[in-house]
Amino acid sequence: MSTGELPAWSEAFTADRLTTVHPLRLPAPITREWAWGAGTGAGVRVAVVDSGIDAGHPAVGPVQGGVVIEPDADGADGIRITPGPHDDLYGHGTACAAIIRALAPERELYSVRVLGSALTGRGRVFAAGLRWAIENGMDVVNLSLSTRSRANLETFYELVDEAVFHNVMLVCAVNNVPAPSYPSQFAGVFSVAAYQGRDPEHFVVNPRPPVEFGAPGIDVEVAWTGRGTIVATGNSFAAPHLAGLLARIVGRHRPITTGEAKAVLRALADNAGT
Amino acid sequence: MTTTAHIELLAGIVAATRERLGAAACSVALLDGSELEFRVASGAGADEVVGLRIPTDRGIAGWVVASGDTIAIADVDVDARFDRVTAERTGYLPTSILATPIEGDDGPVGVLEVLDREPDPRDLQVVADAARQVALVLDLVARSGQIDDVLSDPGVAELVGLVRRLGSMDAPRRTLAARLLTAVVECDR
Repeated sequence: MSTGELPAWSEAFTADRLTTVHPLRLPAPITREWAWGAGTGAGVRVAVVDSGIDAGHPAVGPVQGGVVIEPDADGADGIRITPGPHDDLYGHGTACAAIIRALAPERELYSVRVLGSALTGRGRVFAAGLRWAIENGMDVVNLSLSTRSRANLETFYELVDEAVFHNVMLVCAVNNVPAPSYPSQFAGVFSVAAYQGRDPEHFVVNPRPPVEFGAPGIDVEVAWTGRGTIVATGNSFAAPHLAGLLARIVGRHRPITTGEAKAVLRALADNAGT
Repeated sequence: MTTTAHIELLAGIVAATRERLGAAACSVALLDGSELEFRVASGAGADEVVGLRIPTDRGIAGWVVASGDTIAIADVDVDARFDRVTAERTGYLPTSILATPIEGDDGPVGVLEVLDREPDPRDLQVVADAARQVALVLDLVARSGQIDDVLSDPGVAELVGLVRRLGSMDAPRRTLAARLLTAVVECDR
C-alpha cells in the first residue's frame, strides 16, 4: 500500500467526510423521569411481528398499518407481502400490542403478520417480516417469537446487524424452554424473559446473558382476540413491556442508538447497583 | 427400523414423560400437511386421541406448532386458544396443559402435550428433553427411509449382492477381487 492510499473503510474518517455525531447526554444519575417520564411514545413507530393484531380490540387502539407475509412459490424469494388490514389469527399479537399500548399509548402501531397458515418455510417468512420492519422505518420492533431452527441463522445475523446500524431496536422474547432460539440469542437485540415483577415500568438486567432483561410476564392479564382478556404466562408477554418502555425512551431522546438505549435501561434496572 | 418399532419408541417416551411429571396424559401429534395427527398417547383419553386429526389454525397444539414456542397454561378455561370441542372428543377435559414443539430441521414438525401434571420446577426441561428424543426418533426414521430408497434401486441392489459374495470369499480371492475392482475404477477415470 503506497503512502497516501487509505486502507479500506478509512475514508469515512477523513476530515472532509467525518460528520458530527450527537451522542445522548446522560444525566447523573439517570432517572426514570429523565428516561421516559410522562412520555407516551408519540411519533414512535412500533412494529409487532406476530400473528396479526385485532385492531378492534379496545385495549389496542388504532393500528396505523401492516402487512401479511406468507410463503409463495411464485413470489420474490418465495415470499408474498400483502399490505393492508388483517385479523389476528391466534390472539397472540393482540396481547403484545395491548401491552405496548398500555405503556406507550400514542405510539404508531404496525402489524407484521408472519404467523398463520404457513407451516413450512417459517424461518424465511419470519426473516422477511423482520426485514420489512427494518426497511420501513420502524423504531422499535417487538418479536415475541423466535425459532430454534438454525436453518436461517446467517440471515437473522445479518438482519440484526442491519437493525443495530440503523438504530432499529429489536426486542426479542426468548423461547420458553431452555434452549438457544434466534434471533433472541444475538447480542444486538434486547432479549427478554419473564420475571416475577408486576409493575410494568420495572424490570431487571441479567448479568449473565444471552438473556439480558427480565420483565413482567408471569400470570399477567393480557388482551385476547374475541374474549377481552386472559391471564397468561410466557416470555412472549415480557418482551412487549420492554418494547413499550423503549418506545417512550426513543420518543424522548431521538436520535438514540441501540447501545445508548441499553445503557439507559441498564442504569434503571431494579437490580442496578449505586 | 420398522414403523411399529418407531411407534413403540415414541410410546415409550410419552409414557415415561407422563410418569415423570405425574401427569394425567401425554401425547405426540405430528404434522401431516395442514393438520396435526395424534400418533401416540399415554393416560387419560389415550385410546380416543390416537388417530385424531386437528387443523393447525386452532387449539393449543396448533399455536405451538405455528409459533414454535412452548406454552404452559394453568387453566385452559380462561385461554382462548384452547379448543374445547376437540378435547371433548377425547373424553378427557384437562385443566392445565404444557405443550412444546418437536423441532425438525426447519421448524416444528409436531407437538408434545402434557395434561394436568403435578407441580415440578423442572417440567419445562423434562418436556424439552422428551421432545428432543422424539425428534431424534423421527430423524432416524427419515434416514432409515432414505437408506431403503437407495437400496431399492436395482443397480444398487445388484452391487450389494456382489459385495456380499465378495465378503464370503477367502482372503486371497478377496484381495484379488479388490485389485480387479480397483483396476476397473482406474480405467474409468
